[in-house]
Amino acid sequence: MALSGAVLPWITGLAVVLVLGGLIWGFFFTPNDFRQGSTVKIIYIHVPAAIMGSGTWFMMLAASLVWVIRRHHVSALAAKAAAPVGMVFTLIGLFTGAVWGQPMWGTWWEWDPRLTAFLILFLFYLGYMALWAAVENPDNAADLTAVLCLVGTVFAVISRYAILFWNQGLHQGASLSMDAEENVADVFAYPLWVCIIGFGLLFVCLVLLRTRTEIRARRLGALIAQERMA
Amino acid sequence: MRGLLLRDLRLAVKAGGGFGLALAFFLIVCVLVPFGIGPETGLLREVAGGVLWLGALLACLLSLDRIFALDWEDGSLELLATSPLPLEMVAVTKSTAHWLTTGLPLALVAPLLGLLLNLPSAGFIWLVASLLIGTPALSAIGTFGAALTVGMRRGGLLMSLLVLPLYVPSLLFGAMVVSNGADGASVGTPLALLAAISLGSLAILPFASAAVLRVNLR
Amino acid sequence: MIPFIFPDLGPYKVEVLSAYAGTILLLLALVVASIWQGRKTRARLDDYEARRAQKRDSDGDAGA
Repeated sequence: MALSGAVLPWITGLAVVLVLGGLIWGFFFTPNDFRQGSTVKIIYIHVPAAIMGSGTWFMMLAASLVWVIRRHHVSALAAKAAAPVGMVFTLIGLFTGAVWGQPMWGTWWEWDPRLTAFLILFLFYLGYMALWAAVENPDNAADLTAVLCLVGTVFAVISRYAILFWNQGLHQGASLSMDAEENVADVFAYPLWVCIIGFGLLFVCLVLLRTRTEIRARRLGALIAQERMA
Repeated sequence: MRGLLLRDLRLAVKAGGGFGLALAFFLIVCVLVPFGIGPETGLLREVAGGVLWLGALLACLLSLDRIFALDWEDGSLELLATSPLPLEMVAVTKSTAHWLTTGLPLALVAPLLGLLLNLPSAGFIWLVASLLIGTPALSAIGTFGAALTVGMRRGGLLMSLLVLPLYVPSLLFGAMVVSNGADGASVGTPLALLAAISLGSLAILPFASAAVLRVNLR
Repeated sequence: MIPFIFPDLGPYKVEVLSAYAGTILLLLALVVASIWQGRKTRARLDDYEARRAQKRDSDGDAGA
């Protein structure tokens, strides 16, 4: 708590600087792609949001595992705190993808593997949060959601590959892998990296903030329960 | 264990349990589809496989909350938890009973509904096969969902939200088997993957179900 | 001062701007909601702890 309190303002500041810096760099100071025109600017939001949208789920998986194995209360609360953040990032990824797809693919929505998998991930976030909200006893809720997160991960991965099998899709492959020959050009890549790091830090600071809130809420609940017992 | 299975089966068939209801629901869904998309034979033929699978899946979902709800209400679930039978086996038995009372009958009546929807004749055998192979996964996943939400107020709605995303791979491969089969294309790969999902779910999910049941019974 | 040039977005102006606007809106909503929840919980906890401390003090006085 003390450490996170001390670190939080710095991370927040850095996150704000990087997100704003990356987006402004991307929005104002990069050329338009000759085929995609100015829609290429959406990449600075879409890619980081999509990375964080799926990354958050893995962070929740790790936190759930720590809770199941070590019964560390903070980690369960961190998973709970991260879910809405991940959901919003996923939603941003879907929304910007749709807005980009409209002029480029000629359709708002395409049942493309990546898009569909992301939509399903979004549903998983909704279910996870609904389960947290539905269970009153906090320890039980942590246990149930942890198991749901584990099972959900398995099925999310299966779905990802099942969907690939189902429809090959329009979505381009990775645009930033280290070994690919066809990467995005450097003019686009530098601000994109700044945005990715910025979104990552934004995620960290939001999760820290929300976890602190959850810890306080838990303490408050415990105190009230204690008083009732007395 | 056999006693529990027989008891569940008897309860489902008697007492207006989910048995007939799920089948009737399946029938109604399949009857409603042509009203929604129009009666053209060609169009129906195209979508028949997917609609039949979707109908079976929804019918399955409808009867899930009965798996543990009654046992929870009259306290026999706690008795089961303290009995020598491990809770994992209880989960397996419950899934089996659910499958025998929904998955199996659904698979058996599906060809009749396939007739209604103009499913090409080559598809019938694959429809039954895919439902027979795929519905055990639906029951196992459903048991997990029911175990998660047992004893909750308005648990049914929450359970649908939790369970439906988990049904995606089964639905996808099942519908693919039927439509490939109806077109005379090869069905081996999706059928094998469907079977893999069913076997995997049956092997792993009872442990998860038992774990969440223990939490809910605390 | 550097002259401020708004980039020419060409035919896709609406799409690009709406993507940025939607994202900023969603992120702001999340941040504001998080901060607001944090403040509220913190205030409630502080309030509660202060009241408890007060009560304990008054109990102590009564005993003495």
